[in-house]
Amino acid sequence: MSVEKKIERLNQKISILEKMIEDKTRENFNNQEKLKEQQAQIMFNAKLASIGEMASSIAHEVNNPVGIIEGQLRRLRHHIENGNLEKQLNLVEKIENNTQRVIKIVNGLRQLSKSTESEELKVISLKDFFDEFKEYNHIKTIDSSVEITFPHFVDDIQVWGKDTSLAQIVTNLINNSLDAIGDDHASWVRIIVAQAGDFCHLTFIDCGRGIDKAHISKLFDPFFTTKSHEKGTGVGLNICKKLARELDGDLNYQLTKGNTSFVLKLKLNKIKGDSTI
Amino acid sequence: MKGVVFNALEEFTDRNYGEDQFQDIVEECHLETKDPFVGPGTYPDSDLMKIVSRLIDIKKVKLDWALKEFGHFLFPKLISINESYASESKGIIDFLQRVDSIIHIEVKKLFEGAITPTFIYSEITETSINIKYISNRQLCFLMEGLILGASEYLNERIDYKQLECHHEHGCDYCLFQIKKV
Ligand code: HEM
Ligand SMILES: Nc1ncnc2c1ncn2[C@@H]1O[C@H](COP(=O)(O)OP(=O)(O)O)[C@@H](O)[C@H]1O
Ligand SMILES: [Mg+2]
Repeated sequence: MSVEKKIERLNQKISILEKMIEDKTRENFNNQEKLKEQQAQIMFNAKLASIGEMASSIAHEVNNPVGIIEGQLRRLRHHIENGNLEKQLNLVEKIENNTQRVIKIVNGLRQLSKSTESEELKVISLKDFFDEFKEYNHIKTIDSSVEITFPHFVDDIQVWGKDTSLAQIVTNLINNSLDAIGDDHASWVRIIVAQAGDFCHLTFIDCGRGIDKAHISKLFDPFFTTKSHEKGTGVGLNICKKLARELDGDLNYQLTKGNTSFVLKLKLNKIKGDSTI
Repeated sequence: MKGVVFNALEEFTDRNYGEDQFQDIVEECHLETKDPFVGPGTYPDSDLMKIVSRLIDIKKVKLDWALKEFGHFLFPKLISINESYASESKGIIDFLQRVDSIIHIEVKKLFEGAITPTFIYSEITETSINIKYISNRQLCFLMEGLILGASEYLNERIDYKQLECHHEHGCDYCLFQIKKV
């Protein structure tokens, strides 16, 4: 075979190989696009599910004051018939308060259905946040005999965050604890706050004795749940971790002195020239 | 069969029977494949067998002998794909067991469209093993050469024989007995 022919054959081989590489690269790219699409679909489904979860817990919250208002209206009619003006005024005031509560809860729902992505990161006072949260929380605490201890702030701590994201994370973590430990006077949930470097650690500890080793690696997977179909969606922790990361923070499971706990890491807002933080 | 095997056959042919021999045979054989063979490509088994048949015709050698010689030649080419396949093994008996459970599995991931044989192992001791070779290609003579190549590569001498062979007994497998010496 002449040298020219050999070179020609080698050139042919090289161009065949180049085409193979090109095809493979395109295939890899397409697979990646497909994977991205599937991931987006999963996240979208998860979001729908979590909105559903929120809506049902909010419906639960709204039902309570509405039920009370209904009773108060019945008594008001009675006092109008009797002409007792003082009692009438007193009841109207109570009805106003309960109506305000419903409005606040519904506003909360409206906030939740807003995308957290469009919300700007801002400095949040944890003290104010928890004060608000305790008042209008969307958790099942009202009927629960579980003792919930919120963090105690000697000095306020400021973090970077979004109100709706934080509320969603805290709600889900507390609800998860309540689901896990059972409604019992001896049961408790504690939220502890600590500062570490550039971060603030909010540790949510409950009286549970840790999570089954086999489950730990899956906790943050979408749709991982050990609960029944009506109770669990398995998206809570997945979304919370995503939200925490959107805030440049993180969310992780850990065992704290033998108890189940989740650590929410948030970025501290350091005040210039303040060396005590 | 994958292009790597065709390329090794080309090298084998040219080295033993003179430069350009392979290309000459290819041109005479009217293969399905018109382009030059490249390693990652997949080509019809019939093309490989056409080339081998033509080669043994011209050189007046027997098919079983040619396949065995080629297998022997092929082994170092295959192991060069990933030398750790051999270095991680604890000797020839262990290595032969890894071919089915690890190496050929990795090969199928690496080379899209590769079809490798099935091995069933029995009578395993520290110094001996039986391997039942099952493949539609019925290339037990190639396998003999590959076994010899492996033994040479790992520097452990062996004796082997086929207790049963498709070509002799008509069974749908070939049973190898391999012993360290
Ligand atoms: C480093 C080790 C090895 C590698 C990387 C390797 C890889 C391969 C590859 C790429 C093929 C071609 C498959 C195709 O084109 O579809 C093949 C076929 C084959 N391999 Fe291996 N192999 C190795 C070791 C062995 C050993 C030690 C044996 C024998 C004990 C063996 C037996 C065979 C046989 C008989 C075939 C022909 C296909 C068939 O009969 O169906 N291989 N191998
Ligand atoms: N505090 C906790 N104690 C025990 N297990 C928990 C706790 N928090 C979460 N888990 C486990 O993690 C799973 C996933 O939680 P999550 O993502 O919020 O989904 P869901 O609450 O819908 O099941 C739960 O089903 C439960 O098995
Ligand atoms: Mg949950």
